[in-house]
Amino acid sequence: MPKVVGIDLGTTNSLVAYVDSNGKPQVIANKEERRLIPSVVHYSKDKGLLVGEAARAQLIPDPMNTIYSVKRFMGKGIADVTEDLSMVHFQVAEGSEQVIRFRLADKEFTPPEISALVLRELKKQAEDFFGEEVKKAVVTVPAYFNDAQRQATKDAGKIAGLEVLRIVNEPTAASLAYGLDKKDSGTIAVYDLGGGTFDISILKLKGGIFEVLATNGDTHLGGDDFDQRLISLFMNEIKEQFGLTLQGNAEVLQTIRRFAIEVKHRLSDQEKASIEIDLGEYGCYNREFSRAEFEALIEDLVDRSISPCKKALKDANLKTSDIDEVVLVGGSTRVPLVRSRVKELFKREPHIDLNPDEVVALGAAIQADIMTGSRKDMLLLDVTPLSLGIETIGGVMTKIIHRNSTIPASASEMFTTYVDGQTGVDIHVLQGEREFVQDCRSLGRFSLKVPPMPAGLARVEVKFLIDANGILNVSARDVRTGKENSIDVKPSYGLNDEQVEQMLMDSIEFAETDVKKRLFVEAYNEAESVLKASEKALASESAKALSALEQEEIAKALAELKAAMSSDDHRAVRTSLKTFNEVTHKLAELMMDNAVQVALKHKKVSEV
Amino acid sequence: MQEARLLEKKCWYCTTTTDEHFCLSCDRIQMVDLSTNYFSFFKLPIKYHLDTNNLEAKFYELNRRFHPDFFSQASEVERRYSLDRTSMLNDAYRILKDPIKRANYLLTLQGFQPKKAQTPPDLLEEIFELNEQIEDLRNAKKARDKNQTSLLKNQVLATEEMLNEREEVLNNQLKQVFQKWDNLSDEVSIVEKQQILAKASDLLAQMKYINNLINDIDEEFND
Repeated sequence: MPKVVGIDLGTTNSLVAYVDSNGKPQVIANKEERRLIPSVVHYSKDKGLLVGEAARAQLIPDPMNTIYSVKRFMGKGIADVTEDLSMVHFQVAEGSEQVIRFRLADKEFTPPEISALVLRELKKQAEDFFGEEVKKAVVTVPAYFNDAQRQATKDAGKIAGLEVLRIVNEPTAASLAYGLDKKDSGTIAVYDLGGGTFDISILKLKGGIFEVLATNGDTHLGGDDFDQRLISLFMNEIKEQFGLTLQGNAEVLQTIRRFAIEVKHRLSDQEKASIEIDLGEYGCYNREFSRAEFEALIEDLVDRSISPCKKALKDANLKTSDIDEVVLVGGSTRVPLVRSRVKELFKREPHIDLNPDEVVALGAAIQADIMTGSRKDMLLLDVTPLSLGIETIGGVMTKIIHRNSTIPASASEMFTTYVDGQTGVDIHVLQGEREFVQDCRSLGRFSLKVPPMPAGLARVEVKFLIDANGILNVSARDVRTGKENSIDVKPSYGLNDEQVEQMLMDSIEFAETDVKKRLFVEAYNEAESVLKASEKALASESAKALSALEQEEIAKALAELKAAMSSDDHRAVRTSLKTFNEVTHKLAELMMDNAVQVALKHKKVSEV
Repeated sequence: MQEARLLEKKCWYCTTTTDEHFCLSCDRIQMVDLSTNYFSFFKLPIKYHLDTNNLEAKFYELNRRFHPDFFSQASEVERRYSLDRTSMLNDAYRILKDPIKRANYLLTLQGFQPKKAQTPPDLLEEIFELNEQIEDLRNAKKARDKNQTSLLKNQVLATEEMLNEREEVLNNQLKQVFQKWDNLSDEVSIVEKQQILAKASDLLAQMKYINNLINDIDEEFND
């Protein structure tokens, strides 16, 4: 039975989980026992490709080549992200109007490609754990993600070499983990505040069915915004106190960001936190923060999460008193102000038994289990968060599938031609709640081909289907002939199929060069430690017992090894290392020094 | 013409004649027939009155049988059918669950065209006044006149209260009309049946108007 995993692809951290033989979902840790993998990617000439903690360690030393919070850029165009870009230091490449491209060293990456690198890392982590290939996964997204954002996530999965069985909404996934635990019936509200996005979902749990009644949110609200308030405050105070403008300096920005995050975390547990930032020759910035001060700073941000909650309740036709349980998800729900506001709104203590960082991944794993047919007792019935519509005369957005409709959902519209001989019909598809096209989100333009005929005679039925992933599928049929029409799709903020295919190819190639580089780095490091140990040995008394021939062989092998190390060929290093170990074997045996003996002997054994 | 189109529905897999969600012989999921009406889909009689708890139970049960999540490893054809059938299930549930949507759907099944929202004739004066009050309220808000705003708000709320009551009355009338229709014997003439439904259609048009008005008021207050 091939392994399937659940993946939480978060703004700040990502996780991979599976369901064990006892039916219990478990997070898979990496080799360093880490369960949360920072969603950070670094690429530079000297360090190569780094993902996760290793990449995060580069945020301060090399911020220009280190990307974080890429989730904020998924499924968006340049115009949408000007504010986000002003807060980060990684560069956007030229010609990025439609599809954002980031520049890292000499390469360009789109947001899905960056996310794919994180997904690939998690894939490897799972494969190391299982000892076998992992090709299928369920990946989560914020419930309020629009079609383009979902598609970008699916593209990322494909580029990473994963078959994405399902895109699942984060609050819904969390409810699965909660429901597995509770096995109750009732109405729950899932309040999910992560690093960059906020979701509120109202669900009805009954007999293993998890029915989403309504969902709402803000794809631009999260812990990153809390950090930004602190960062701005620090920068302003430092400017006032020291006359120092730090805006342009990437390394300093990342350092300050680290302090801001530290303060934020500490104030969740303590009433006060103080920091000390060393500004070198300018002096030291000392600041003590009280929780109350922090709360005043982020109050309006937390308040922004309340209106979507009220809207969701209204759409679900419920009052706060109808909610039996409130479940908190996402690291940012650790902030005491968030908890008290939620308690105030729903007039009950929120449920905090589940680990807010892991619950989404665990839920995704359960969903993966369901999809493989391993369990039939639970089923998610999710909804589309935004109304889907088409542009009609006068720049009006005419809704054809309403928000909070249970998915899969479909609607059909009839189209015809307006001019004699017209051979194409254009449909502009959008998502949103407003009346006019300009206030809604353009998803893309679809072009139908029709045979030339008098105006008004053509009859093409277009079916809009939002699948269980919340992604739009469009098909068209000529009613007169009964034949399927071909449709040309131009996504407004996304990659077309050819582009994704190309990226998949590129990523495989990139992975290979990356692998080569990694193998070289590993071989080099090993060779280096052997050299160090052998230097000691060669200078020791034991070395004097070697014959002239033996010493000559050693010197030759040493020279070859050093030469190989200055190349970039891992195979050359390995071969010369093997030879070197062979000729120094006797020396190792002569050595009484335990440490050196172990080092050289260990290498010899591992070569076998 | 209608009769001729009623081709025997054959299972795509084993060709047994079947008109169910699943083939009675080989149990494979069947292609959806878009002409199926929502009541038949749930195996319910075409009547206005239905037990919503029972409907929900059926909705959940059918989901367990053909939701795409349970067809992830199935053949492409079955996955397609699962997607279409579940999509129809969701449409059917959405319409039948809500009494007003159900009522409108019943009318279209019986050949009635949906009517535009209609002003209840005896409320013309009150509605005219209400529109004026809303306009004045908007102006008072702009001018930040707290007293005027408060006064007008109360007036509007009072009118809303009256509208809610009227909606309740119309709804009760609607239920009675449909009760009559649900219980009609087959001997009753088509003309008589249509007359009863025409009354329902009128009531629904008035209810639509009042509902729109109440929504407008709510929107005004949410600003």
